[in-house]
Amino acid sequence: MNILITYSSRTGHTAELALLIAEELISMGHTVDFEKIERTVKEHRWPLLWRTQWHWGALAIGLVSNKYREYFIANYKIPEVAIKPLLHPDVSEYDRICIASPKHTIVPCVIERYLRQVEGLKNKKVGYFATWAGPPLKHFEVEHLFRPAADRLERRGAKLVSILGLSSLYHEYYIMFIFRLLSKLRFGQPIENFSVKSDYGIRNRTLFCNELIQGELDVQESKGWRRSYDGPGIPGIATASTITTLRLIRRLFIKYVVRGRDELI
Amino acid sequence: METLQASGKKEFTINDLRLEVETWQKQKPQNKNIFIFFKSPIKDPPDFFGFLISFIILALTLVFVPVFEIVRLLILRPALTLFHTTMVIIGAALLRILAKPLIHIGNKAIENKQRGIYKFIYKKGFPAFLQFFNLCFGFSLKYYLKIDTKDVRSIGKFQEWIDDSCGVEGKWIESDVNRSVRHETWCPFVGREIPYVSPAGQNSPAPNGIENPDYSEFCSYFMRYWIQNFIKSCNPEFELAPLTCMIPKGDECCEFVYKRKKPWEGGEKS
Repeated sequence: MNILITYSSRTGHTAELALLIAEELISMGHTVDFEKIERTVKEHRWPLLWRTQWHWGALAIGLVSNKYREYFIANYKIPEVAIKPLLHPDVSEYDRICIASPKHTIVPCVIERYLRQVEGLKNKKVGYFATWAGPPLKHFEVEHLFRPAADRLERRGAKLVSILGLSSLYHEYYIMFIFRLLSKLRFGQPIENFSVKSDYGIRNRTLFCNELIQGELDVQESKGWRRSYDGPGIPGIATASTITTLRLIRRLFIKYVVRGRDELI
Repeated sequence: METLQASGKKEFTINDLRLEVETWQKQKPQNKNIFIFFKSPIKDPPDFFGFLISFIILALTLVFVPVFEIVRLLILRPALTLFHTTMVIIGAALLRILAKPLIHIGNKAIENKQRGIYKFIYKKGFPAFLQFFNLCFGFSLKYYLKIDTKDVRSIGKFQEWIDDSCGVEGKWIESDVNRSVRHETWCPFVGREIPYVSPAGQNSPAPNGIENPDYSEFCSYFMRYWIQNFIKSCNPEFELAPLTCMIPKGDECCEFVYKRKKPWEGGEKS
């Protein structure tokens, strides 16, 4: 099968994952070509942050209201930036397309531009893999990147058939400690367990490649949830809204405290 | 491949990617602590000022973006706003808190029917309160419950909301666009805050020397006036019929009949 891996990497972590996936696909007997998306002007990290800072306030509301979060994900606008000319401006000759990027709060601006610019996406089956700082949090990481990406691909006539998101263990803005804490709180595991080279990463890389080749799954229908990690830990925290979390605490309280007390009586 | 050669661009192979990753691994960026900026602003001024500006922008966006978004949504998508959701939650909470005191006040007024307090509460107090309630929460409820004002069953969602908030159980017996009937089969207040009158007519002991105080008067007045007020604000063509069957009177259920004032005469709906 003829596969194109299109990647955009700012700090190098996504390129590393792209290489690992390419090697896996080649070992499965497929032909892989590459497309590196680069900005015309290299941007310092702080101005890059300002570009998406508008969304941070919206993220804050999303933590309180599930309805607003749904609305935000379905409607948010991504600013575009100029990219260097593409090596493969028409991808119609490929059987599968793989897009790889980091997550810059939302879908990166370069990917937004690429998805508008590239030709021949119609009826193509696409896989999307990404590296981000945190663990695979359902609402913050997985949903914020893959659902808008799936929407955009659908508008171009393509179908997202496989997704993968792994932790790069690196954050450019020095807030890695927050994600380490979230990983402990939400999953009860160190964030290293969700990194590119962890068992979780290796397992999911293989799964990603298999699903990409099979091309039967429709991520849009499963709303991008499927690949989020659903393990032990303190459920609800950092993945749900405050109200959902409070409801959950109430349910647990009734289950373990109130009913337990009744049984004692 | 041909297109690449034609455009004169060099192909990017897996070996190029391998080389890129190997080079990157030698100078892999390391995580730093956020407090590094406060310690050495002179060492890396662009980084320090970048951080400072980002922090200011972040603080401003965290305050102004929610305000802006709420205002924008209020104009564009009122049904989805936090405002309406918040109002409905506040309304439900108020309902839960105020239900018992209101019933208590209503019952006290019934027990002192000959005094002026009864007239004051039932003629002025409750109407003013219910009008104020509908003024505050009616608009949000209409959007939040997605009420179709041409369908009387849809308007009945308001009563469902009251029931859900207070813990009353009921079901719809008839669900028509022009006539709907709801039976409230269980009420948490009857037998507690609202004394229950047995079908045999044996009433609870009469307080203040009044014989057989009709405690169901509170419901028949308060609920009807409240729902009637809401119906009026949605569609004046509909009304709630006076309550005849009531649990406090000894009936099996409270019957609420929503109907069109003038019977539908057929033809195309307006």
